[in-house]
Amino acid sequence: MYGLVNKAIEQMVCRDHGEATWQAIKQEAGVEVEAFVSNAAYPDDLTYRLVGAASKVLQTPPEEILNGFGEYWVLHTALESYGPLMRAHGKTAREFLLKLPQFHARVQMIFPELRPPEFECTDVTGHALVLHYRTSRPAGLEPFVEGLLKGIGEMFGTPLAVQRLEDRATGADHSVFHVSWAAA
Amino acid sequence: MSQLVRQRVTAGVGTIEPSPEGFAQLFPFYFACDAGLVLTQAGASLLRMAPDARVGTPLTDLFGFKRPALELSSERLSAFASSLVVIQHRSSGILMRGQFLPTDGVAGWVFLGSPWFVNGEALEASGLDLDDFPPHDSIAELLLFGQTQQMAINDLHLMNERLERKRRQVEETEELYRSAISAANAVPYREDFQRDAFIHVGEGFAKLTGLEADQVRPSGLRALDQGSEDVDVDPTLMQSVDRTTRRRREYRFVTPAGEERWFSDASVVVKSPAGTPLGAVGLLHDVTERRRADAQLRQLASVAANTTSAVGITNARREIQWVNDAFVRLTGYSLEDLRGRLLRDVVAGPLTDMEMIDRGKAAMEAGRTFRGELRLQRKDGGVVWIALDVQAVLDADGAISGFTAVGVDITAIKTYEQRLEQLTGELNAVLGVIPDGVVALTVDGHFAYCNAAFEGLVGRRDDELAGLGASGLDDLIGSRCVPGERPARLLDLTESQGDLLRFADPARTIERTVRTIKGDSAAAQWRAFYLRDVTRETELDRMKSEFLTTAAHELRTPMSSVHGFAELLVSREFDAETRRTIARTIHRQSSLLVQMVNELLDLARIDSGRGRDFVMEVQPLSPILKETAASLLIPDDPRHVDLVAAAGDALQVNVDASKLRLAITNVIANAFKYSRGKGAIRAWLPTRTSFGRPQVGICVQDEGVGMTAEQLGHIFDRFYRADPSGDVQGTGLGMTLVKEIVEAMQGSVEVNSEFGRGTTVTLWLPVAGP
Repeated sequence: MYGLVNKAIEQMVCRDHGEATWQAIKQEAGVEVEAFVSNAAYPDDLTYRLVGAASKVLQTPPEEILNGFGEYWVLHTALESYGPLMRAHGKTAREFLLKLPQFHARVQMIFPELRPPEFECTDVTGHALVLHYRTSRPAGLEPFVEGLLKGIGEMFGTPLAVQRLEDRATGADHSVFHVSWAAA
Repeated sequence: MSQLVRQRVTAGVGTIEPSPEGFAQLFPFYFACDAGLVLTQAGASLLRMAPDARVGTPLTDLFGFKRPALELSSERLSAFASSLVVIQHRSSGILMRGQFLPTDGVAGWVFLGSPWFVNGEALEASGLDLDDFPPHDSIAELLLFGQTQQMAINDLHLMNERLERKRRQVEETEELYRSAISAANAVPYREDFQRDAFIHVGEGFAKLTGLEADQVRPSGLRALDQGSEDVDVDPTLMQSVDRTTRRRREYRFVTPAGEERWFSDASVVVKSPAGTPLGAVGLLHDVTERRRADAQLRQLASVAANTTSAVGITNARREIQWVNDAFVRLTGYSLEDLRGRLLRDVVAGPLTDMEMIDRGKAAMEAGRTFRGELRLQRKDGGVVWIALDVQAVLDADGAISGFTAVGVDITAIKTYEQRLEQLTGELNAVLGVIPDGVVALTVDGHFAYCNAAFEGLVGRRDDELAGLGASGLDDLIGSRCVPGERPARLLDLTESQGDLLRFADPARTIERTVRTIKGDSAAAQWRAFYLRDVTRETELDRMKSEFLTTAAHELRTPMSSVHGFAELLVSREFDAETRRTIARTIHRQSSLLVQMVNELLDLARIDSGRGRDFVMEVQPLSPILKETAASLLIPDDPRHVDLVAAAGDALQVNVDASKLRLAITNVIANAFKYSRGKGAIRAWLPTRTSFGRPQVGICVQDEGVGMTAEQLGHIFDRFYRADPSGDVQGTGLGMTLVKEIVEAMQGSVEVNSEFGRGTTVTLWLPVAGP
């Protein structure tokens, strides 16, 4: 994954638990990187180890860590890094989600080594849609996606209700979420 | 409103004529103008961006060239046709990149391009969004690139910040190490084994060694090596080193100033990949003080091991770690018996003062010195007294790291002390009961001790005398003397010369003598003064002297008479009558002498024997009186003693009859002598009770000359004569003898007399028996 992801994990831990805890997590994960470079690619394993170590050090289930991280990613990392660009991609959560595939297409153009996930929206109505999530990465990042959706809802001031309809962990070929919001 | 018109666009691959809707979608920011540069058309997005782009507006009012930096004109448009140009919307300042193309058919120009934003904020500020751009436009990618670039810059800043922080930490650490090395009197160095020289010598080398770094650089550590001692390598240090070997040595070094110093060299040997030692990096540390302390420690350890005092060392928990041989000898316990145990658990016995042990424990826990005397029980059951001194040993941080205990065997001293205490008690008891005053002064002449008799003599208790010097005691003694008498100073008295003091109120004569008591040296002596009340002895001496003078005088008178008449008979012739007269005188005077000598001898005997040679016998008193009165014949006096019946006639007394007859004889003879042949002389035996005891008296009464009160006061004085004229024969010893005899038989003499009327003498004796 790109350094920005690892950097975001670092920032979240430091904000909520302090620098010493981050150092403890790094030590637990066996990560000796002093500072992550945002635009450099790092092995996925390093990110997974950081999440596992954070779970152990903070005594919190990894799913909860990932969920929180997804929300943090949208509200802090992405907004701070790509705020105007993200806002330029839509004026509502629904619009943003619909343009998510286009956004990721552009991102991949910029970061050719990035393997961004594929999102597809179907069954779109005025207050709900079905989000299809496909990735080449192993199963288990679904809580992260749910955290992302929560953050997007918060970003546009529209709380999103997310329900996991299908899960790769249970044999599905891709994970599917039902996303709904209160009609305007 | 702009008007969408069909335009022909010339491209390299031919002519494409898109539909007006398709053109507008492909180029939503396009605009067209006529040959006079008046706006004729504008795309939808351009109108959102530049609402002032109304048809008919001169193009130069709306836009200007940014690149090239020239005025916008038809000629310039012709010159830059098909070239990339950057124009700027005048009212919003938004830049647009694109190209002007000449229109086909109608003279004029069409601009194909889009706004140029390098960051999302500018896009937001323009009021546009990505929907205003055609999907093929790379504005979003451009913004992403820009943002990515910004992130990279942010990363660089962050990296720089962290590096700067690290650099400061390194600097601080380096400073810390420098300070630590400086404080530790240490100098870092780097030595090259190949060249056998110092490559680097740290600051402070000259101060430490007295040598300039340049002096020693060529010779390396050899410059300091003047008798090195290899020191064992600490195994924990060895473990901390990977693929290198530590050297640790100590060097003795004599500075150019001649001062011996020791250095500790702690270094890491740097090796080549092949294992060849290349050099060393290390620290030279001045350990001179530690070496000196070690030497002293070894000496102290030797002292502790060899001293006759028992020495023990414990840890901070007071558990014994080491004892010397003297300790083993004193307690009988070996080091193995004692190691790791508390002293109290090993040597406390039934006679040990456990309260003192607890006080010792409290003092040790508080880090205070403890001193005390304890009775300990040896391993063999014996008991020893030790004087124990326990000191806390503090580590560099001031924390208690252990204790040292030094014990001295004071059993013999304690035995002597107990004996001394006993003797002192006995001495105090003796001094307390003797009548003589005793006061002792210390070596420096201060009050040390006095007994009760001395307290009585000076009228002060010993606690009131404490602290007084000799002069203070002199003043006190002087205040007790009769006014005007100045006694000698105490310190002037010597063993060979005491003195006598006369005390007033009550009048007493005090004899002072002094004895010296040896102190620590011949010069240092205590003094003990004895103050003895010799009032009685002095009086007796005076009386004896007076008696001898009187006796000699009394004996000389008849002796002179005998001597004178005898000399007349020898030297001259007298007729017979005269010779008889002289012979009678000689006989009378010599009889007087004999009587006087006999009475003196009787007195002396009674005085010396105090009645112990009397032959006492219980017997009737009346016969003794009758026999004595009947046997007494006075020459030239026809009178007899009238014996009068009385209450005591039938009573018995416990007396020496012969001595009592002598006393009665003297009393009756006096009655005859001092009544000059006139008046009756009566005798009887009266009775009385004195202090509950019955007494019987021998009462002799005359009607003679009697005595004055003054004469009566001297009646028992030896050689006292109521009639000093010589008309009445007598020795002056008779009544003295009477008194001595009667008192020797537990009786008393009562004399009543009236001048010119007569005298009554009664000898009272205790009644014997029922």
